[in-house]
Amino acid sequence: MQKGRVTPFLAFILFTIAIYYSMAAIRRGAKYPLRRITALEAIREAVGRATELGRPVFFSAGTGDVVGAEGMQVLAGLDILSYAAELCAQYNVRVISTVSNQNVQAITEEVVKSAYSRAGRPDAYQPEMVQFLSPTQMAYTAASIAIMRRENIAASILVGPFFGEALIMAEAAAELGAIGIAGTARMSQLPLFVAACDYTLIGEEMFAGSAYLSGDPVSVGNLAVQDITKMVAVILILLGSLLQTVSIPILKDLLKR
Amino acid sequence: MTKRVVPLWIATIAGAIIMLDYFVAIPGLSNIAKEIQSWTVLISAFLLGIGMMNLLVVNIRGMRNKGDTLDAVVLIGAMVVMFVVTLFNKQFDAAYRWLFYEIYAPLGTAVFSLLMYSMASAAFRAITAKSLESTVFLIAAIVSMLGVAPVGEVISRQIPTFYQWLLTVPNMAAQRGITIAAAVGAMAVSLRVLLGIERRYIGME
Repeated sequence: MQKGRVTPFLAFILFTIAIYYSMAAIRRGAKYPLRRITALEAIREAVGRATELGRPVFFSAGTGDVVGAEGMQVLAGLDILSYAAELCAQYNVRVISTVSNQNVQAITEEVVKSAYSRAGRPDAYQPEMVQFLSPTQMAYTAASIAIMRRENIAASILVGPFFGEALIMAEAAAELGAIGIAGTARMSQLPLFVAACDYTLIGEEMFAGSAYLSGDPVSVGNLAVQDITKMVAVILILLGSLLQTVSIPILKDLLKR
Repeated sequence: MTKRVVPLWIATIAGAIIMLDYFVAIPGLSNIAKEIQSWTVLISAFLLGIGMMNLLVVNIRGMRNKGDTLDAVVLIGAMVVMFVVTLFNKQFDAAYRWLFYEIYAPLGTAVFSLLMYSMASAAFRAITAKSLESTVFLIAAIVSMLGVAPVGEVISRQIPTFYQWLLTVPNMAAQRGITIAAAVGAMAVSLRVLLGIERRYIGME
């Protein structure tokens, strides 16, 4: 075992077992209450408004890469795109998703195509729905804003690992009067989204999208374990602070292993 | 079906090897993990070509269906010129430098400068006392502005102290809470991908 990775490994094993156990429990009929996430519920409202206005819905997962630290945020964003694109297909509204990273391009295409297939309208998928623009941050931002304005979007969904482009894109959508739904786990951009958008998914809420929107046992079970893990983290923080205050470093030493 | 199942297995096996290498020191496994990671560079370069193809298809269709000729010609032309000049940068060194430093960099900076306008505009809309949340936002913004501006200290010496407390205690506590919860969420998603439960990224439910 690598030095300093014994505890993370044990935590990983426990986490995996807990996910399988909770999935099985929910499949057997156990109920897990999900708290209301307004920003996720607003997606339906945004697509509905786009239908009424006959204008498209814009989506971006930011400029992050699916390979690396932000990868899971990209996948969480694409989960939300999957749901929004399916709604758009059902209501015959165009969805436009711009992509900055080449590694995300093929995945985004697959997500939108399968959403249209699920809605029973595979023929309605158009290549313009997923547009690769540029791997360079500001070139991508400029091109995305141009598309927003040219297409006169009715709603903007920005969920993923956003960087300096976050506020520029969110504000461009707000200027067009589009409903703004955004979410990121990047702390530096989160306050900017809160200020500029109508609805914001704060941190972990974006990872709950899959469970909340689909309600399938696998995802809900996953969410239940997430919540329990957070509680364990809170208990460990409190216990650790208490033990450190009275100079008993047992927990600190254990977590260092 | 094979089209979907094979990538799923590749992703699961590659992910498992890299993760196992992170936790356990097995001789030989580290080399396999490094090899897999180096493949991502190759795949990424290949995908850039696919991205360029998508850009071409979308813009050519735009020219044909909507008449967006000028935009499409400028974009495709710029992409081809930059691609050729970068690929043969030894032969076109002067042109590459000029295009990069005189056109590309200033354009990037110009777009980035929009951030200041966006910030002012978003602040103007958000910082109003129309609800409890926005009132808290407004108070925090006023305290922050007075906390860093010299006038704050002139009004009261307690303002910069209060601002520092706001920044390092409640703000930091909230930030850490969000970060821990997001990390748990990211871990759950990555585990779903690794175990083959999360399949939407390959078009499966």
